[in-house]
Order: sequence, then C-alpha cells, then structure tokens
Amino acid sequence: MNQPCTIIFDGEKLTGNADEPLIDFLESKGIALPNVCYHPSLGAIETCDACWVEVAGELKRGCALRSQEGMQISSRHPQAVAARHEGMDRLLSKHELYCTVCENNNGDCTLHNTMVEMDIPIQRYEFLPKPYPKDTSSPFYTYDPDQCILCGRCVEACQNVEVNETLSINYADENPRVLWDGGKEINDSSCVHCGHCVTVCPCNALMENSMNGHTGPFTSMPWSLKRPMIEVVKKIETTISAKPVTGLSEIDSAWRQPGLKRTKTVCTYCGVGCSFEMWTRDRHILKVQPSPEAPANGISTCVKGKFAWDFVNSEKRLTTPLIREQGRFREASWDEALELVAQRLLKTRDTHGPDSLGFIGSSKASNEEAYLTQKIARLIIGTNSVDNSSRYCQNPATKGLFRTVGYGGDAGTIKDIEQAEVVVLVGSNTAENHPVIASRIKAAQKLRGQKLIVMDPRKHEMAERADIFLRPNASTDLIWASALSRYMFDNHLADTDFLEQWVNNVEEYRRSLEPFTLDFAELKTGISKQALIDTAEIIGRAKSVCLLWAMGITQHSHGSDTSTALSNLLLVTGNYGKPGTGGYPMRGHNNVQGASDFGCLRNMYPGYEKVTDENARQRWAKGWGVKPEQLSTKVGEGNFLMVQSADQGDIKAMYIIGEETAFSDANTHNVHSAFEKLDFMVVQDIFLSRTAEFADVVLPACPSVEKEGTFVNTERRIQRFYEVMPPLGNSRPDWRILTDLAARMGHDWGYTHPSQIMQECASISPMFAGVSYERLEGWKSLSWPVNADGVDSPLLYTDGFPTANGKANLFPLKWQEPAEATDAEYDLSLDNGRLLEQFQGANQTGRSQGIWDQAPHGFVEVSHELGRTWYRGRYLGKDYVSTRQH
Amino acid sequence: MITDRVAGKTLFLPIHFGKPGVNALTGEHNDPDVQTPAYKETAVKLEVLDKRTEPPLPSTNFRFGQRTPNQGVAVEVKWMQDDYRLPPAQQHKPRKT
Repeated sequence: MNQPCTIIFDGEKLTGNADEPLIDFLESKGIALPNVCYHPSLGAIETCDACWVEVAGELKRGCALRSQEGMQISSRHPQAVAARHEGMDRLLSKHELYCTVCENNNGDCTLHNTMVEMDIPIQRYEFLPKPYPKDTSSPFYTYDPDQCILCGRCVEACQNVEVNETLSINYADENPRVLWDGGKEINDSSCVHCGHCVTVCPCNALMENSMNGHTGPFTSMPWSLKRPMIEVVKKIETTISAKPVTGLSEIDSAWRQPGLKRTKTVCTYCGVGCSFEMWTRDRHILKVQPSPEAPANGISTCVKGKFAWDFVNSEKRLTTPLIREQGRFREASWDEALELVAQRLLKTRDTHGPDSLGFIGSSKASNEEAYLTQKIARLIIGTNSVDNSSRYCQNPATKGLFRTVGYGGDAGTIKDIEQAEVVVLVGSNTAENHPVIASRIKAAQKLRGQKLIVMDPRKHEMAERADIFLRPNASTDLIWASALSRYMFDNHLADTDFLEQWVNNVEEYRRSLEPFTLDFAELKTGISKQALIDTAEIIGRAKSVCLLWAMGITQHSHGSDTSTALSNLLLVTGNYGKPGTGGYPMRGHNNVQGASDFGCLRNMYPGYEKVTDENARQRWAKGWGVKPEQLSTKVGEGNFLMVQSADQGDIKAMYIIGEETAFSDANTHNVHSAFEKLDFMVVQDIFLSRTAEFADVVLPACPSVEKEGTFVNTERRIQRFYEVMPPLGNSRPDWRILTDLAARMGHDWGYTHPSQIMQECASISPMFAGVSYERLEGWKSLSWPVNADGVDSPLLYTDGFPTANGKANLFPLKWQEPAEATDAEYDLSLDNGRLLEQFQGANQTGRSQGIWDQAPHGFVEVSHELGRTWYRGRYLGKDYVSTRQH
Repeated sequence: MITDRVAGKTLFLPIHFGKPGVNALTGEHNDPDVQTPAYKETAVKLEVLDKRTEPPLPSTNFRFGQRTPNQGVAVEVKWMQDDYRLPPAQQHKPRKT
C-alpha cells in the first residue's frame, strides 16, 4: 500500500496516497481535473496538454505529476487555465465536433465530457481534415483519421498492454496519424483485432463497427444527410458560440440513455475469464467495453471476447424444443419435451439401473448449472457417471496437482504470473489460446525484464518472443522436466529449506531421478545438454517461477505423469506458496474449471470431495435431504468411457449439455456409432450441433448473456454474470430447464434464481462456504477455497498444503513410451490445436462473418524440410492427411 | 501451408474445421490415469494432391503482418517538432501537434 500524503490543491488540504498520478489522486477525492489522454491502465502519455496545473511557479501536466507530501498545486492559476484551454483547442482542431450525430455520444466519450467540463466558449483553431480516408478494412472496427486527436492511447495499449506491437504514431510527419505496421491498412497488418485500441480511444476515432447506425436517434442517418447538417451547425456555431451546440449534444446523449443498457458479463470463450460491460440497445450488441476494474483482464480482450458475439442473435439459434419422430425432428412444447425426457430417464434407470445413464455437463454453462447436472445424476438417477469436457483437456493436470500439491487448479492468479521472475510455458500456445494472459507475460517481459522460457514443438508467437525456446521431441517432456529436477539436486539448486519444511518423500523421489541424466535427456528429447543446463540454471536461480502448461502436455497417453513431473520440478525449486510462483494448467473454456469444481466429475462431489468418502457422502445426503444410501459410492464413468460404454451397450441413455462431443471426442467414427446405439439421447444446447443431430430430444438453452450465473476462470476466480437480454424465442436458461426436469422426476427443488443454487452448494461444500451472490456483486470476485467469512485464496499454499500432514508430496515417476508413435508408413506426427480467431467446432465463432474473413479454411502446417522434400508449391488444403485405422 | 512454425516431421492441423475434422484422425489410446484421449499422439501420413487451391489463410491474415515494436508513444518526438509550442503559447499548426 502507498503511504498517505497531504497536498494543498486550490487552497484545500487533501489527504490521499503518496506517489499517485495527480489525476487519480484528485479523482479519489471527487475532483475532476480535465484530461483526455490519461487512462489509469495506460499511465501518463502526456500528449493531450489538457491537464495543466501550476506548481511552485511552473506549469506541470497533472497526469505526470505524482502526489507528494506538502505539494501546493493550483488548477485555477490563469496560466494553467489558459494552457488547458490551449491544449483542448489544439485537440479540437484535429477532431470534428458533430456529437449529436456521432455514434460515440453515449455518455462515455472522454473528449466530449472533458470539453463540456472545460466549458469551451468557441474553437480557437479551425478543424482541418487530414489527408487520409477512413480505414474501414477491418470487419470489426474503423479508424477515422479526421476524428483522431493523436493522443496515443491506442498506441500505448497496443504496444505495452496487449503487446501485439502493431500501432505507432508518426509525430514527425507533416500529417501525423495512427499507423498499422508502419502504414498498412488495418486488415492487412499484424493487427489481431483484440480491440484494446478501440476500448481505450477517448473519442470516435477508433470505433466498433457494431455501433454504426444503432446508438442514437440521429446516428442511423446516412452521411449524405449528416454532412449538410454538420456544415450548417458549424456555421451557426461561429455566431452563437459553441455552447448551445454542446448543450444540444448533451441533450442527445441524455436522450439515448433510456434505450442503452450496460450489463456486466463474463466472456464465454477461453478460461482467462475476461469480464466486461456489454452495451446493448434491445437485442443489438453495440459494443463490449472492458474496464480497469475487471479483476482478470482489466481493459484487455481478444478478438473473440470483443467482437465474436453474433452467435447470440444468430438465426440458427434453437428456439423451441425438438423431438425426433420417425427419424426427423419436429417442434414440441416444453411440457411435452420435458415430460418425455423425465419419463425416459426414469424408465431407463428402472429398467437398466442407474449406471446405464451418463450425463455430460457443460464447460460453457454456469456453476449453478453444473451443480444441478450432477445433482440430478447423483440424487435422482443415482449414478456418478457425470463428467465435463475437462476429461478431454486438463484432467491430467489436475491429477498431477492432486498427487503433488493438493488442489486441482492454478496455484495463484494472473498477478503472480505477471510478477514472476521467470515464466515457463510448456505445450501452451498462450498467445492464441489465452490471449490476455499472453499479453501479461509479453508486457512483463518487455517492460520489466521477465525471463520467458518456452518448450514446444511449435514456434508460435510466445516461442518467437522467448529468451529460451526449446523443441523437445514429442512425448518426452517428462524426461527433460525430471532431468531438470535431478540437475537441481545435483548442483545445489534445489530449495532444501523449502523441501525440508514443506515436502514429503524427498529422498525417495530423488532416488527415482537416477535414470534422468542429462545424457539420457539429450538422447530422448533432442535438446542439447548445454541448453538443458542453461534452462536449469535460469529456473534454479530465479527467485520466483511460474510454470504454465496446456494441451501440449495433457493430451498424451501419459499426460498425468508429465503434469506431475512439472509440478515436481516446481516443488524441488521451492516454487509454490510464494507470490509469483506456482503451477498453472491453463483452462481452455470459460467454465471448464467450474464444471469440475461444482461436481461434474465421475468421482467427486462439488468442491472435490470423493464420492467414496463416507463423511462427504453423509454431508451431501443431509444437505440434499436424502438418505446416504441414495447416493452411490461407486465411481462413475467419465465422458470418454461413457461413449465407449454406449458403444458396448452398457450405457443406454445420455444427457449432454452444451458439449460438442460428436466433434470433440477422439476418434469421431466410434463416437458417432456409439451415439447411434443409445436408446435415448438428450442434447441441451443453443444450436443444433453435430452432437444434437444424434439426439432424440433437443432442448433449446440460453447462452450466458440471456441468464444469470457464475463462472470460474483458470485462476479459480468465481465471477458473476448478469442478464444482458432476455432468452431468445422459446429458449430457456439451463438452470431453469434442469430445475423443471427434476420436478417432473419427483424432486421439486423450487429454485427461482441461481443465487439459491449457489447458496445451497455453499452451505454443504466447505470449499465454497463463503461464496454468495452478494460477495460477487458487480466486478467483485472470489478465488476458491473461500472461508465462511468470505476470505478467499488468490494464492494457494501460503501456509501449507491440503494433505494429511500439511506437506506437499514429491511423486516418483518413470518415463513411458507414447502409446502411439510414428512408423515407416505413418511417419509424421500430427500436432493439433486452436487458432486465435476460431473456437472449438466454430459453433460460436462460426456465426461471425468477420471471423470467417480472418480464418476461413482449415489447413495443414508443414515444415520447410518436409515441404522441400515433398511438395513443390505453397499450400496444402484440407483432406490431405490420413491415419492408420483405429 | 509451408511454415517454420513446425519443424521436421511434425504437422499441425487446426481443430476448428471440417466435417468430421481432426478427430477423424485421432485414436482411442488415452491416459490410463484419467482416460484423457492422447489427441497429440497421432501418427499420420501425408499425401500431396496435384490440385492447387486458394491459399487457406488470406494474405491479409495477421500472421503475415510485420509488427512494429516500439516503447509506446514517443511524446518527445512530438515536443521536438519545430511547430510545437508549450501551452499556453499558441501555435501555427495545431492539427499536427
């Protein structure tokens, strides 16, 4: 915390934080010092010249001035007032004022608001257009040089927050403007359309295309009408002064407000957990506006979170229940569909037993909905066969963490990743899959000298930026990780104090490292001994290391072991329980963490309590008001095995919520044949997905923006989202569907709001004891475990580990050959993963034309070595790769 | 697409496209501890067809752009311009600075 200090501002004593930008200091006291280019997330840029104050006879910019004890500041000094007006006059010579017909006149235009505050009587300098056309090349946003005041907020955001490093301003040019890649069109540049620049633009120079024609009563007029109006008003202004015209635009701005709605929501793409305000007019999404207050992302977003929301209003949305009849779907009422589902599920249970049913909860739906899914499976049906898509991604990481440190989630938060001395990325294409976390790492490296080590078969953006980039042979990560651990012990780099105080099984583990010599590691991984030593020295000598891993580790036949090896390495080097340390399995869906946390796991109740634990069973039975015998102690099947069991005829009915299993599960051919064998299949989704095509009943659900709930991001951070707009057509929020269904199966739980579901879970599960909707209001969030008093745990293991003796465990491992390797015929390794622009089976992103413009086709990436040998031309399209038949 | 993103005998396929997509190629071998399919352990062969198609990624895609890294806004450059006057002094070319 900053020290307090007292300053004298315009004769008034004010006490606040020392060493704070004057603008922020004054704002915390309710005083607005005019400013345009300053933004709390960007710091002082010092370009707008609108915030001058007088200090000890000198003029200073209020953004660059930092509070100090005893400082005497005057904003009323005539020179300061004149300087601020001069600064604003210069801005207005670059920016044409047509606020009443401007899409950005919605109450949050910094330039407009500052101008009104300053009460500018008349423009000193005439507006002069710049000799550049609007850049409309991006499908997502537009740059209008004639509105651009050259403040540089966008450049700062692009260079030092997002760190995509596309934007610059050429102040030395005769006609400066913002440049993309030094002078290309937006869409032809390295711009990733993350939207940072648009978010921070203080006026309408950079604006979301989704605003066009939708924000105000006059904005939908064509420019052929707007232009003459603007000219007339400008003429009048010179005679009657700008004030009446400014007043008019104020009226217009106020007039817009009743139709404009701003709702806080949480992104439904990856696991970073970006939250932001969604601005809407009726069902039209005007823009996504992140805020410095957002706990995970601040002002950051990626192209998907900022721009890929067309799916919400897609014509392809399911809006009425469907029942299959004679091979074809027909529309049905909710009553008919739910009654049918209830009867068929109960009948299957009664005929074939509870374990003949399988449930897949959604990693896109809320915690409350995951909770209800498992409650129906466990309490009503009596099976633990309930799972979620973490089976396809991070379950091996969770296993590795359970074996070593005890909690199945990231050890700390994004702040820890930012402040680590060294960040190691293993099998994680962070810049494309967790773009906002990648930005934090890129900024830490660029601005604060954080060291970045990347281990990956692919040279992605983070690899290009890395201080050390190594390409281990496929499926050998356990070897280098273990060799590094051994090196630490052998070279006095192991944190012996930490090991002694906090870790079990050190000696046995050390002995198990015997085979992992540097020679062996070099032989198997293909990484030179020297490179391994260099890497070990950096990790071993760093004061704090965060290690992030993803599907490149987990989606292997020994992903759990490799995850364990990575966690072992962190333990050996003492990198748990301190700020800036820990293991971080990057979560790939907005609520894949929450779906597991809230019990969609074959062996755990919500809060990771084992179904085989009698105490837990007793408590859950009591909480749910049933006899313990009603809850099965038999570990169920995960989604991967459920599908196999369906194929073998053991599972007769499946209920799949918001998961594209028919596309995402491995070996599609067998998945489809298994689904065809089911007696009864229910799919609850927002689209008629590939999976839904196999269903007997399809229930139309709502995306997050049409309901309330909470998500858990990769940091274990629980965040609330609010209803942006009502459900489309006859679709319903998942929690309502599940509540209704349970009632029809004889269990009327009576939930009328998701907060009641969370309240129930918090009252039973110790991990969520202190979670409540009140504590999650607005931008507030909680990282589990949350004590009953509401104290949460952003950084885990600060005072021990959740094990029998409070210590972590080093877990001995053996390296095993991968289950599938190349041979003479199938001689290539197929890596696979996401692209920045698209998401999964494109069910969401695929509804945005702009996304398709960016990434329209599949392709195969082929190395130059292979390309030279195999192929004369440049491109290989789809359908060119085949495997052995499984 | 020939690229230095991958090396040697490793191919990369995005998971988003096609019917049925990449999982037509993956198998059912999985992690014995948690039954996570080994999506990233897939051996394939590659056949090159004679057919030439349009480039799968448009030339405008960000991956073909050339970034212009800098330390952020160079406000000193603005201040150094001949026509920049420190406010409250007035200036000739407000449009520029």
